[in-house]
Amino acid sequence: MALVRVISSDGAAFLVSQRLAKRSGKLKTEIETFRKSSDNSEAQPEIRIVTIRAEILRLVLQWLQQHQNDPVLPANQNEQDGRGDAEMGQSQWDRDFLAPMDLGIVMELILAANHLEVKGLLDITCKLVESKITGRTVDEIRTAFKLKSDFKGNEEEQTRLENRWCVEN
Amino acid sequence: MESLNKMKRGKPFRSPKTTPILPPELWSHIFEFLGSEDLYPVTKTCVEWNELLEDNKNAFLLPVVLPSVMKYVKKNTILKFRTISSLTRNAVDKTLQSFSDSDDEDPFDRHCSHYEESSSKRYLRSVASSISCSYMFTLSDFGYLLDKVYPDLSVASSDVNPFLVRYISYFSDFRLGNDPHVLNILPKFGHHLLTLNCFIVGDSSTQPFHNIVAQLRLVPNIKRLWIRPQLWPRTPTDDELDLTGLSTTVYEFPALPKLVILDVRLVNSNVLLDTVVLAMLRHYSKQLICFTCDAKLFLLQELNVDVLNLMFPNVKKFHLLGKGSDFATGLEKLSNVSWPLERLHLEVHDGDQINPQNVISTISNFHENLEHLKVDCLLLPKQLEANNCNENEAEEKVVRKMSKLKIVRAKANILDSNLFCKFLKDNCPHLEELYIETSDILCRERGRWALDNLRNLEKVVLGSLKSLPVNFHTMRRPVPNETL
Repeated sequence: MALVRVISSDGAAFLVSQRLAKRSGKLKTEIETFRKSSDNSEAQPEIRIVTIRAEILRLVLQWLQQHQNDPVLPANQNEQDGRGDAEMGQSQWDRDFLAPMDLGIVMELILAANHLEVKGLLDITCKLVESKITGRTVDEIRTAFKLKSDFKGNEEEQTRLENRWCVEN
Repeated sequence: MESLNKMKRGKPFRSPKTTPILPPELWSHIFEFLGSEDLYPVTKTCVEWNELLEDNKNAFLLPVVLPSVMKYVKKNTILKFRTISSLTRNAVDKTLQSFSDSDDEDPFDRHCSHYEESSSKRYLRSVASSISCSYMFTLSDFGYLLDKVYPDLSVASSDVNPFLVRYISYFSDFRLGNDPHVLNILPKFGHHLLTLNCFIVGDSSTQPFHNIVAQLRLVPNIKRLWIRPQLWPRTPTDDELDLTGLSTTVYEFPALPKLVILDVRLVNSNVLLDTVVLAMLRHYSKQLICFTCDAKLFLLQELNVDVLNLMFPNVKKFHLLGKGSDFATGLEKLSNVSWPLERLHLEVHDGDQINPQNVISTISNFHENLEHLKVDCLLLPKQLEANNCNENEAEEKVVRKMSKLKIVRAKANILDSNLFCKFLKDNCPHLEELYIETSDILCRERGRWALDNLRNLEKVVLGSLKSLPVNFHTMRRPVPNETL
């Protein structure tokens, strides 16, 4: 089985099958680039992902492993928006996978899934963040994300005013 | 400081081996000066810094992930993101503005490049455009939106930008006079606008044009100006225009130093072109990078090749549209101007067929810089083409090699023209992408011809933008010796 070494920003190396790695659009491109530039077709590709740290990379690979036999979702499957996809793809395993994570990790996963082009993972993580926001008040959102308002003076009021213009009744 | 508290709780922080080595609390202090974009990379640098920043990670991660998450939420929730913090507001605004209806500097991308656009991008584009539509200034249907916020605006400071995507549409309607809201709002907030989209409603007066010209001084920072007569009930003919005072009007155009995009595509009355539009061009044409007009403009005697060259020294993107019968003169003049065009879009809106020879000489006139071409018209079919060629053989022009042309979009019909196919094959050696507008996307024959004959072509996209969802099929050259 052809393998590939994927190295995180903090230097941890993961040895995975190329078949698995290729389910990430980014890794697929990287493997192909490596192939083209290498004389020896048997050489084991080594890919350094400078934007993802080990803890997050492990989670992405774990998710890929679980979903390795899913059909690959085309980028433009849904007509108007991507909202339907997440529900379709979310299994009990996914829910258990995400349940113990705090929001910081989920957000790092979003960035990683985006960077590595793993649509299914991007869908479920974004959906999770969305669920923490839709239907909540601004203060509840700030609490959930441990955020403080950094608006100065009447900026917050002005922002609401701008919004009022565009919100549908 | 959060990190110090933690240390007291007995969980020691370590510092990475930097030169010089600083204690964690100093790093923590330094990080307080960094913004979201800078802090996120810090967490990935090493385990130690990631631990150090653990506590306020959410605060700087949220703005960074918002552009991804926005694709999954409804418009009102996107707007709610704006009220969480100034960082999230800036992230949302930046994303929306990049998808705003005005499409950065490229008015024709909206219509032609989205075959392969992902559903999420299309969704955000629709949100941005729905927000733009909220800023529709008219006394009729949309007036209530303005009434809703106007009381607040009248007390707001003029430094506040009330226009979310810095874009408004404004109806100048001669029947109703000027919208009083506009007259109140533009003087105070007009300087925030980047795009002004003027609809001219009216059937027998040139007054709306006067109004628009008079109001340009209220929007000194605009980059894009669209002026379009409202097609309802229809555009007035010259006979119907009330020309009282028109010939004696002296327009006072303000300086609009940032104006680079002008779109007067639907102004197709000879009288208006000859007066208002020409006066406007005399004032602003030299600064334009992007220009869209009706082919009738080129029928004006005054606009000969020399004048056109003087007028548009900087135009990089040009979109010509109109009736087929008006096109010949336009193409003739275009094939002799020396404009630094990078993008050209020719669009005939009736079914008239154009002589491919004329189209080719126009295109090849821009051989040095042209990168992107869209031919939205039908070309004469083969049989007629042959006849025309014989007639024109004597004055056959030298067709030059296109040194930069990479992308061509066209109706399927152009690949039925021998002349055009020959032009693509012999004169466009750098062509990489070919987009064919066709309702029959399974008709691969044309795509196969292109891949077989055009050396550097990477892909052919057969698609139809008329159907929703956008339906397309991409054909690529098979990669030789692909290993599994």
